[in-house]
Amino acid sequence: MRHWGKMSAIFVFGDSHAGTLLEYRRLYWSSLPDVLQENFHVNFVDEGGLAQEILIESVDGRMINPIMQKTLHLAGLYDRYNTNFSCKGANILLLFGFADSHMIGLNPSWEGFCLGVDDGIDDYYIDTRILTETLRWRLNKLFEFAEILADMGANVTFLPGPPPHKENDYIAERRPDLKTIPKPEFRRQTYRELVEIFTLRCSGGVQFLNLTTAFSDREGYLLPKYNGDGVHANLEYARDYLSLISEKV
Amino acid sequence: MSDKSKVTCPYRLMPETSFWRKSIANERIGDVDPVVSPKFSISLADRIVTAGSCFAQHIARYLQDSGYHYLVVEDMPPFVPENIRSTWNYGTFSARYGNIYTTRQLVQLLQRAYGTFIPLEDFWQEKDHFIDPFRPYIQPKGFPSVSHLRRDREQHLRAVRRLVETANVFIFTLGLTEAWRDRRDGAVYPVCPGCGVGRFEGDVHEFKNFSYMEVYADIAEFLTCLRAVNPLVKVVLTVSPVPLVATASGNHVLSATTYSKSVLRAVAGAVSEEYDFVEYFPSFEVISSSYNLGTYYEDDLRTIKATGVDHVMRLFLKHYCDRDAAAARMTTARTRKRSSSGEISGQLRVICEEEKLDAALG
Repeated sequence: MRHWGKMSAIFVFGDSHAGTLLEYRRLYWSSLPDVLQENFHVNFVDEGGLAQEILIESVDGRMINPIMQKTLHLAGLYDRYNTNFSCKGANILLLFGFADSHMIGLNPSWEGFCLGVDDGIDDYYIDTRILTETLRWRLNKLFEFAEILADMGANVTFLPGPPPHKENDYIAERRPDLKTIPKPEFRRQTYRELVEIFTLRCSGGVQFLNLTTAFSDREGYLLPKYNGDGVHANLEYARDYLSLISEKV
Repeated sequence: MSDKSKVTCPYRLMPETSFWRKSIANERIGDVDPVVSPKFSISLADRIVTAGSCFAQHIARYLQDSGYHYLVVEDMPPFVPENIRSTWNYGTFSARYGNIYTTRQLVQLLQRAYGTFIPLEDFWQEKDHFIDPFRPYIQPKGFPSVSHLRRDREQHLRAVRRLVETANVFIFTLGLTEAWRDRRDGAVYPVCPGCGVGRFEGDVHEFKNFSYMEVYADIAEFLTCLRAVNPLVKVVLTVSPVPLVATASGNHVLSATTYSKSVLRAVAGAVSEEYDFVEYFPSFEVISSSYNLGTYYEDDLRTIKATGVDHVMRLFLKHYCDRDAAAARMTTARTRKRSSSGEISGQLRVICEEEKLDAALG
């Protein structure tokens, strides 16, 4: 569906977490706040790893990942045949970058690592600053991408993914495809670090809408009523999330 | 009676490599090849580790680029980008020991790894961070606390044990005979305390210039320890052609360099004669001998040019590895290196604690 010319519209682009929002919108369209029934578009782009490759190197510089290009094109914000943006005035919400909280493992004092190093132990020491630098580096392209959209006149807002689930057994039962699951404390710490990076990095034409406290318990884990498959939250979460977006954007 | 017994001049039986005119004066610089009869070969499956002075990093880099199994036992997880990995010295060496300039440092590393030597000097405190005296530049910003330092060291020494126990080939580049050590227990540092990092204390720290006998004994001890835990490992010794940054011996730095390199070269040769699993590889001769008219040194007459390292590694791969495969990989590696860095001058980056001395003294 194209939305050429609807520049006051709200567009959410995201990974599988956007898929949850999309699913809710499809099933419960009529129960959405009025503002979300019109001029509100949710676009699933690709799985979370896209955030690291959202800008790719080409022979004459950097270009937007073709998957993202196509999604922007279908949303009417980018003419991929003439490489022109038409997103001036659009509210673009990006829901990327939080997959790292399921891919990188840290211990509660933000000093360990458990995945990818064959050391036979699960508390491999890595200096905190290396992990912080790495997360920042992994998000750099995403921030660059957001700045490109902002330069083209869009109002860009980053959205957080859901807080991490508290129990690994719950995740393992529902997501047998995940070969390794970092300890809950690791996932929570990575999530917190991501929130901090987004908070510190976003300024000017790019905002970060920190919705995390609305969905987390006192320890920082996802509230049980929002439990989905352990990685993604459920449709109730999608409802409340969309409701908050409608209020704040 | 054999034909040999009738020979009046034994040199007539010698190969061309025995003669200066044939193997040096008549050869192009890049074709000079002083390697004769290697004792063993290295296969793609062999796990190769490197340690030693700055020059060892060139060997490490080429082996990695050439597709050989360069063993890194202390590494970053795969999601950490290369620039961060190298800044924090992961993968710069097979383990994060930094440069090992002296043979005593090497022996003590093994002793520390197996708990038979625990130096009295535990850490050096800077303003807001802590330094490991035995690898002072391994972290670009030091350690945030003593507990972090100790935890990282414990992990590092565990990695060193794994390294010595699983390597098939151990390449060690001998760098210096001069060192600074702790008077109390003989612990040898890679740098002089107080020169850029740490604090010099005259009643604790002392200068030591190791003799031939001491270096020989250290290498022999290292080989004994190594073989005790890894009976089939092969060892390649090289001598760094990089001159001393400075000497504390009281001699001219040129004489001090000559002494240091002479001792190291002589020990390496003697040890390789004595042990059938030890090979001496003549990178020192390739870079520093008169035949090349100094062309392998940068203007400071100390830094090795990429062309020199190319020459050395071409010979290494030719004699110890599969020649054609190695040549193809070398070409690919060079192309990749230059295209990725945009580099044409041939400058190669190495981490060198010794050079911090120059910087510290201005």
